[in-house]
Amino acid sequence: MTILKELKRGVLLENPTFRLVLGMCPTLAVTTLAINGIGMGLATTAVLIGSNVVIAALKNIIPSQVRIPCYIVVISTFVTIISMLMEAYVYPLYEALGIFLPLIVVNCIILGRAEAYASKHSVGMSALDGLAIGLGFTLSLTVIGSIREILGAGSIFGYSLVGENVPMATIFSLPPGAFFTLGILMAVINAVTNKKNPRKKAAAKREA
Amino acid sequence: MNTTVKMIVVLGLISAISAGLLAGVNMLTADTIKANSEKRLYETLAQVIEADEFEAQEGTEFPLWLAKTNGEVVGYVVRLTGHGYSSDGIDLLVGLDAQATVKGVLVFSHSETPGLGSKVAEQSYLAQFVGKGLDSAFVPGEDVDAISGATSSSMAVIGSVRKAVDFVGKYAGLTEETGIDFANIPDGEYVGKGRGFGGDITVKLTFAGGKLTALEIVSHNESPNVSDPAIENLPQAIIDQQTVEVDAVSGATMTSEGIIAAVKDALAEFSGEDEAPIDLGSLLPGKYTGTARGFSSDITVEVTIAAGKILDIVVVSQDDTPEIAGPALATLVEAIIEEQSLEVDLVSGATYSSEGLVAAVKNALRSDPVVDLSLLPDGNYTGEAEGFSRNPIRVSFTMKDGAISALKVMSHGDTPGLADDAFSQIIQSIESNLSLDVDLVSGATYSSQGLLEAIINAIKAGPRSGTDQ
Repeated sequence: MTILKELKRGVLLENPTFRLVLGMCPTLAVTTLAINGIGMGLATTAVLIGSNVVIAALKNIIPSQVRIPCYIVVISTFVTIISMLMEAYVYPLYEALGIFLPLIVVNCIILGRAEAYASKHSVGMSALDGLAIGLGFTLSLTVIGSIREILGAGSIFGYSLVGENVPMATIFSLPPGAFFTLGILMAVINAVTNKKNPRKKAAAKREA
Repeated sequence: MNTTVKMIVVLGLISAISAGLLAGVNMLTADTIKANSEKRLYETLAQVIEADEFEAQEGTEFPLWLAKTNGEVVGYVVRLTGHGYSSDGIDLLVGLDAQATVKGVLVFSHSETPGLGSKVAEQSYLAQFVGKGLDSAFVPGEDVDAISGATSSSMAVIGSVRKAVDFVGKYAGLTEETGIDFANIPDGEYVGKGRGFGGDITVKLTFAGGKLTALEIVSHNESPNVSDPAIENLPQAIIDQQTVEVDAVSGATMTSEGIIAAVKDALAEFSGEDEAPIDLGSLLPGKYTGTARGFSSDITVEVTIAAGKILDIVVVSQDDTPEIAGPALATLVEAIIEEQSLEVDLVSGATYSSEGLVAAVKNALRSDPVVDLSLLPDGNYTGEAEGFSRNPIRVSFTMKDGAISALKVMSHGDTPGLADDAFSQIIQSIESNLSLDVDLVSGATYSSQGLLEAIINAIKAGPRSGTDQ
């Protein structure tokens, strides 16, 4: 039950992209193709689980004054390991993610989860949180990547949906397309969740 | 105090464990990563020539891979950087077969203008080079297409492909080696001069046991500091590599080239090339024609010599880029005539064309001329040469204002009658044409040749003083 609840929280209620609006840089940059979204999402998930587990395990040893450097060392170790493994075994994806792979280190989702969750919860719960948040991130990136790939290149996961020589909205493969897609998706998701939860809607109105 | 120590220890421990982990993963993946990167390189190389494996060569002028199938060399891949319109080079791979014929060209990085210069990177443009080889011409617009509006980019690619062909031709030993084999040089000291940046550089080479053991720069007038790297390092490089074909030291190219030229000059007699200096004074008056390779075409020149001097050089034909080569060649022609020497500075920006012109003039002056008697100075000439018999044919003639008179055979030992008839025929022909390009008389070939040789000897001997005997 907890597992399902946690997953629902990570994927839907606290979706890092659409609800927390964290990790925007890779979200916008690498989602030109659906496969890049999945790759980036899974790489981030792996780092997130690893760093959450290690930080939760060390939370009583790490002095609070130096916790940020310690977190960064742990996170960057995982990122470097992941990037070496990817270069060795899934090179095309490694090349497609480019500079954003090493930049997972400074992805604020990871440091954010370490600081906000792993440093206060048990190892098991932290691993679950990493998985949930990571899956939420992966799902968001895949959805954005799929939409951009369909509209911009006329294919999905590399399989062509339309014949060759059909002009596509190339702008969706270019940086502006990332903003369009993200913005529209976020508006739709907000509209849906607000309708479902009128009390929250009222609260939002009052706050504004 | 306690917390400070704890902070240091914890952070240090975490860092140490991380470093250990990374080292471990690196050990696991390093081989795979290296193998993958080689595989990708070979896949790229395989796009320009088919082969089972590629073997990188070291120490070559351009990065070079041998393409091998079943262990045999079936071709080569050369990587070059051409300089087109953008300041970043056009990086390309040229695949050639064992005969230095182009099999494929691939541009793998460039920064040319998208839509214009970038077209040279497309296979539809590059495919035209397939089949070009050592014997092919590379005249833009004729033999190969240049993309209009992207001339610089096109020329960079054309020049690179041509360089690759020449380089592989030389590497594979298909073209004549101009290199000097140090092992064949007798022990001793050799001195030579070459033109550097500030003037002549004199070098002294010492050979012992079939090896260059010392290279001393005896004198030079190069700029201090700038030329130092070349003066300090190049002699050692030549000694280490035992060849003059060493790379110029960047930043001191002129000095480097001067030193290399000086070494070549010192060893000129062993170069295998016929580099005997051309003695203008010994040349017969007349027109000399010669051809040599320019940038993209053959350059043919006609050189007029009179009284041991270069009177005129006419570029009969050339197809190099007119706006570059034209003025360059005109400048060079002027310089050669003015200095009466072929040791003139090449025109920068048109090096190939300049070298081509100088080589064409050299070839011309080494060939047989069409002798033009009207160019002879005034005076009386006598000369002799062997004809049919052992007794020499002796001739004399007088030149006055470009006209020949009193051309006669003074004595000869050839068959009377037969030879006499031949002589009078030839003399008549020479007097009317003012040329030695006359038909030999059949039945008296030796006598005819003897007479012509006697006249040539007379010209070489020069006029005797006074117009009257």
